[in-house]
Amino acid sequence: MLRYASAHHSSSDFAEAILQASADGVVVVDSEGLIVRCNPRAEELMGRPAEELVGSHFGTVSNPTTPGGSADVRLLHADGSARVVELRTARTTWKGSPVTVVSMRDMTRARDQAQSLRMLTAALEAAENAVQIADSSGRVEWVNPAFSRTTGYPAADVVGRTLQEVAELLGQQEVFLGTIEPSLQRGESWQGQLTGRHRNGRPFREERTITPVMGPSGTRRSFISVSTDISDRLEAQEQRERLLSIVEATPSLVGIAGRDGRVRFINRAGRRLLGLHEDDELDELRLEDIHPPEVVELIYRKGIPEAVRRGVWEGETAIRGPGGRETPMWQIILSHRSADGRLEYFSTVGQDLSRWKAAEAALKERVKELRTLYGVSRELAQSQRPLEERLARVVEILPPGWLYPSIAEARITWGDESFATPGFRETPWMLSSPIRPGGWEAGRVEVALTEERAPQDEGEGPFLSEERELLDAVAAAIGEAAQRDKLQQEFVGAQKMETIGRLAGGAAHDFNNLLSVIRAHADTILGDLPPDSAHVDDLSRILRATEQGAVLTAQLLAFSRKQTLEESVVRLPRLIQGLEPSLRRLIPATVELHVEAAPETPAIRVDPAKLDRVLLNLVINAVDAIHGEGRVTLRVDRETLSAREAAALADELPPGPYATLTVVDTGSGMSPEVATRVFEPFFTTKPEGKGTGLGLSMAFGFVRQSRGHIEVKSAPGAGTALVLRFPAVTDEEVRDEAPPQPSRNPPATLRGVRVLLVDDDERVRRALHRMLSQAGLEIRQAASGPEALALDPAVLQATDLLMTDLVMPSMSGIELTRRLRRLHPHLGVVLMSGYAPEELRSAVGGTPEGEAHDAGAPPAEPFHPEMLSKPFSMAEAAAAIRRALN
Amino acid sequence: MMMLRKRRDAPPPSGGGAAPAERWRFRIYTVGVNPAAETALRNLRAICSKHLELEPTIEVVDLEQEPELALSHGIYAVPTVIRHHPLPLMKVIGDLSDRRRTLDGLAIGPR
Repeated sequence: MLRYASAHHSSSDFAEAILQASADGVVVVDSEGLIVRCNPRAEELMGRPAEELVGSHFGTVSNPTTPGGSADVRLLHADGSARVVELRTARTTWKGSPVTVVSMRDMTRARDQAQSLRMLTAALEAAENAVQIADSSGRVEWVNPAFSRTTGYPAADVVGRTLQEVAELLGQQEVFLGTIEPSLQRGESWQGQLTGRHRNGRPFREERTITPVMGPSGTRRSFISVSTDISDRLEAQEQRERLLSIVEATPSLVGIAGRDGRVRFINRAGRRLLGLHEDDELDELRLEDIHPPEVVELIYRKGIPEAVRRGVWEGETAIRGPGGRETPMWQIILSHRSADGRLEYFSTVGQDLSRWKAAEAALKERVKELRTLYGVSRELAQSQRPLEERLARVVEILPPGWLYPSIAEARITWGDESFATPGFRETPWMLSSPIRPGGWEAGRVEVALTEERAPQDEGEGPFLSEERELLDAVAAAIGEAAQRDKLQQEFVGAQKMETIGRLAGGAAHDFNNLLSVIRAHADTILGDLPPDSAHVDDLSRILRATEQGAVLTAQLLAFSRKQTLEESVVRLPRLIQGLEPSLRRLIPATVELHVEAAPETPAIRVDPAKLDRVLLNLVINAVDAIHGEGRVTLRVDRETLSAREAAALADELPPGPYATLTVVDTGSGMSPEVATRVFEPFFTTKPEGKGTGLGLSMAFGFVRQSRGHIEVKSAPGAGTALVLRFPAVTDEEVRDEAPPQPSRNPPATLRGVRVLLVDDDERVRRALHRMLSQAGLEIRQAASGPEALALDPAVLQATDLLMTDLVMPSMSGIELTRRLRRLHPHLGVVLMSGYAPEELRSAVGGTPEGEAHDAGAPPAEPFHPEMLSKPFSMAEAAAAIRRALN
Repeated sequence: MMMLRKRRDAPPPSGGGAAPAERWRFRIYTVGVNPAAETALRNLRAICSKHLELEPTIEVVDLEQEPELALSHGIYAVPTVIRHHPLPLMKVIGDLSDRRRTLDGLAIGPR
């Protein structure tokens, strides 16, 4: 009981004691909110004595502070200050009434500490430095966002790991174990630069301090590691070094000078220009040491003021290098200001202009040369003036184009003539270029310096290589002008030859008709005469004369390209070989004959017999041109003409491979006037009676008819060369060349063969009628194509052979053939002509079948009409008729 | 943050005037900028709109501006909310986040 009472009593005393001793303020509030009791700490916290507090209205506590809660209740002190308190309540009864015990803990200090911690944490979280905080065992407790940024590892990845493990993660374990840990073990902090590996693999550089934090008793409590990411700083430094290396490597001068004019930096190119060494002091260097005086003045007067005013100046300057050697420069001066606009320093960039200056000088030279060349071309183009007159003007244009115009003189030699500037003389300092129109040296252009000059680096003596090119260009231009003139003349000549050819051809044609008449009648009379008649001899003479006349007309026809050619594939070396013995017989002992035949000479398609004759003629001409001793060279070779070369030789000469046959003599040669006329018929320089003047004409016509080209090259005293070019035939053409067809058996006799004879020339008709009927043929005559077609069809049907003139006024022999063959497909045909144009043969051959085909008739066998050149003998006519009937 | 300065809430719009219900009046005491007082105001509004017919008049008293009021109004702590109309005067300390104690302390709602 006592114990209980005592306990009861002591319980109240105990509560009282707690109230008195409590570090928290306690007030007891009744249900009305009035304070019924308070302890000393409450008096202290509220700054009011118990007497004042008890009975006053405290109020209800709406919400006691929960640990970690946000309630922020402040207790007001009587002095006006406020303290943060944690309120806790408990309900009980006191003296029989319900009361609330409110305890009030002063949280101001704790709160301030928490606040400080929060601020510190916030500061660390916002810091740029990566921070790790580890506990005493080195286990990481906290890292800041900067750490995650630098390393790429979020806090969750590293918190709980040891510093050593984190070092392994960042690839820093070696340094950690080697130096960091020993240092920390000794209780010392560690500081140094580290390379780490970011989570993404990229390296970073950090400057790190790890400090062990000691407790009050000297025990280690934690580690703090603070890093500064210096990757950027290092990168900036590398960037600076890279820029510097570029500046050092550039061929331009780069320099920096202070506001005071002291030189602070000059790059390698600049040092080289100035003759400075790597370790030479720049401090003492002044503008005056770098530039020649006039440039120093320019820089002081214009360069620097303008750079200061506008930020930049540029202009042409010069630098004085070792030994006072000056280098022309293009220089830029820049002024550099600080952010607040204060002038800090100057920099300069300079470009060495020496090469540019040299290029400029060279360019001026080129312009001068071009002007010269232009003047020359313009002069030469005045083709209405004689070439000599133009050359006399060209020679005056040349000296100003030379490097030393005042001592340059020029001369042009052309054939026998020479044109020179007044002061020209031959000196040891001369440049010469040959003029070669068409490949033959016909003259020279020369330039002479009348005084000695230093030799050029690249050139000929005192002449620039460009001057050599200029002279060659001038020579080429003159050559081309001469060639152009020559072509012009050749063109006129070719037109003349064409006209003469037509005239000669026409005359020969008529002449042949006349000869045919004479011959046919003479033949007939001779056949009628008894062999012992006294007239046989006379008639034979007439016939011989007609034969000679036929030879002459044949030559004229050859010239006019209207002779009958029997072409086959010919190899010139073989042909020459065969001809050589007879040529040697022609040549007197004083003349040497050279034969040069290149074995690869391509095959050509010509009439070999006619070519033999042409060659004989040419060799005879060559020998005739040699008076006394000399040499004739016969050369056979191949040549491929480009389109340009072919066009330069003659119009319509196709480019491609050619076989050339050249006959060269060492004879007296020809003047250009003679050379242009040699191919004209009856033009001869030989004494009366020694030549017909038809030899070269024949050669000309033959070569042209054989699709080739003949050219004469000659100069008085320099001999003559005749160059014949024939287009090469392809290998296929060589293979396709069919062996001559064996002639079929001709009918034994022509007696009874029915012939339709058509010719517009009545005399020819009559003569042929006589000749043919004498051989037993049955003749029907018609004076024209229409007349022949108007004959009774039965008569036509019964005709075996058509003999018709080729060229007739109303209808050509070809047309007539065509029409009659349509009626009578197996009709034999002999075409007669004063000409015997090769080309007509194929035209006639192809067409009739073509038309028959169109008409739906079965294709006939290939048709080849026989050709008969007037005049012809009975034997020739009989042979042609036999072939046609086959 | 809502700035609590001494101010009076605007009177409610006149709803015809013949309403039988009374318009309650409260006062909230704070010291300067006090997040707990903000919370208290928010909570009080919420409670009133739920349990009172009319929107109450709430006066915020900043004891930093008028420190003498602490003594004269018998305020020992902030935030303190006083219901001064209708009487009797009721006084609650705290941010009113305990709904039940607040209803009891201010004698609002079902009794």
